[in-house]
Amino acid sequence: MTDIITVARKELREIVGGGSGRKSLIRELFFVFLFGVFFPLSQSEAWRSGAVPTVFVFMIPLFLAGPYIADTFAGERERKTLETLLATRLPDSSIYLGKILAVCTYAWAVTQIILLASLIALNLTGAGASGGAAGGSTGRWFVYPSSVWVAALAGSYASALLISGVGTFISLRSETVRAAHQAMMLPLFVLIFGGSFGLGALWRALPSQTQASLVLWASGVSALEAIVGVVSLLLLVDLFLLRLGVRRFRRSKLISS
Amino acid sequence: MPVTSGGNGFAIQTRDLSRDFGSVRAVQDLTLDVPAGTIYGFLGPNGAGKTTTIRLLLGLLEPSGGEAWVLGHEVRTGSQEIREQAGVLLESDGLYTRLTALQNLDYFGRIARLSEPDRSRRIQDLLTAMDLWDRREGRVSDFSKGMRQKLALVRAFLSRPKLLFLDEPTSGLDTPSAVALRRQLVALARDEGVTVFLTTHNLLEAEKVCDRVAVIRKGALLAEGSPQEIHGGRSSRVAIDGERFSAELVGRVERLPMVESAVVEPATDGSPRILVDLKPGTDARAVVRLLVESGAEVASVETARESLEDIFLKLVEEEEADTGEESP
Ligand SMILES: Nc1ncnc2c1ncn2[C@@H]1O[C@H](COP(=O)(O)OP(=O)(O)O)[C@@H](O)[C@H]1O
Ligand SMILES: [Mg+2]
Repeated sequence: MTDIITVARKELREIVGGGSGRKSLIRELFFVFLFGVFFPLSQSEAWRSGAVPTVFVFMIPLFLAGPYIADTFAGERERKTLETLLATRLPDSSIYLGKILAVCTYAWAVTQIILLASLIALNLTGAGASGGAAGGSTGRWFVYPSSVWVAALAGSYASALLISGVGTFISLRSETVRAAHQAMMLPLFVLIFGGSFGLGALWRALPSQTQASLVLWASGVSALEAIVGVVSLLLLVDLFLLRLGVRRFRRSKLISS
Repeated sequence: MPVTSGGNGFAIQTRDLSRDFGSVRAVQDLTLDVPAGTIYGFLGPNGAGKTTTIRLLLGLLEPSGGEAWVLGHEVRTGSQEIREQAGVLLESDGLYTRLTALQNLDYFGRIARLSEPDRSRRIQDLLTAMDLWDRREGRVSDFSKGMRQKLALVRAFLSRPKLLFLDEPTSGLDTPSAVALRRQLVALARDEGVTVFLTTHNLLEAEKVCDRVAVIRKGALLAEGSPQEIHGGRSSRVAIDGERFSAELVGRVERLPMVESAVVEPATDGSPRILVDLKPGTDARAVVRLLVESGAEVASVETARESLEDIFLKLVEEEEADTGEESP
């Protein structure tokens, strides 16, 4: 565990330390502005209902973690630090999991900042508040329902783990960061668009009787229960991917290629 | 052949160690014994298989055949233990350019599980020894090649390894930096009593730095021994110029124990000269003393010893040598 944290510390240092350049910092600021200020204010009612932020806290970590996950091994290979790292006493699993821990924690933290920013933006402007009164002037601060918080705290991490589990496979196989970034577009696309279209298609493919009984069942499920269910399912998939990754990650395979 | 487990005084032993890449035999039936505590040179031209050998010994590549033990651990089954006790400076320095010198060392110190006070003290001691302490907060991307190489050497020593693998540590450095690095490397290695396995394509480096040398070409061992032994039982020749070299005196020189043969052979300008062939590993001091004590006059003594370079060139065909950096 100490080894995993040692690796994660250094990875975070490289991500946050600004070393990776202003470019990624600008990307993150753009994300905070777009999802933390612009969207909440332009679609304030949908945000206050909790529906939009719930979806976004699953989606945003995919975009945030994607580039960093692509960089994990391809970056060390391109910058010629990989072999020296592999020559240390660190076990394979610590290197693999430490890198994932760092990227997911970072994506998770930025997601929380975005959610907090959206709350502040909604409250300060009073946008979308019923009666049109500014939140601040009524003295009552608006907060998201608990299902949004569960999604933000647990779901965003599960989502980051998902893209990490997939992305490390790509990064391990890529010679350059550029190639890894390009290859990452596919799973991102599949997860975000394929996911929604796929689920829609699956839904339409169901017999109408099954659809009806599902709707009936769903109406009895609270938003919180639904979120907990989705997050649990995601975590199961994550666990499977990480186990697979740990098993497939072998240093003696990394050099010979 | 019984191969033992590190307690026998050898830091590295290999028996018929081989590695193929497709049809390329990068390492061929390599059998080596590296005595603990030595600075061991692994000398060969580019593409000879030096880097591949290091990778095999660190368990970063699987051997295609043969066996190898490092610090008593078999490379296939004990690579984790090997990496615990080894320090490395590989083909690339492996430094994180986006981090500072201290951050780099802190990372590897933590990986080596040095305690916080020990880590700080060790980093300070080593950086000071390498004249890098003042640059500790500098980002590695701003470092010169020489500074990076020194920093990477600090990193290699940091965990107090029993064994250091250095893959062409001075390649790409200008001469003053290379000389400085070599001196600091030898001082540190002697200080800490660490075994060093150092690859180089530079003969002078091998001769200056190493206690023993193995010469390889195309993955196969050509010669092994101390630099003197590599001279291979060849006698070395000394030319002594002066006056009053009587035949009787030359006869007495010839009877000295370290002398193989001695002849008077006037130099090209006709001045008197004795050519003395010495037995391997000896020198001409006693010869000169005898000459002087017997009333001869010695004007100059010149060794015409065959250098490791001559031997290296004989062993390694010239077209093989040194055509720039190999592809990784
Ligand atoms: N990963 C690899 N894949 C294919 N061939 C390789 C690989 N690594 C080394 N070789 C080949 O093995 C030979 C020895 O290479 P190397 O060990 O790097 O030599 P040196 O370090 O002595 O310059 C070369 O012919 C090289 O092309
Ligand atoms: Mg090499």
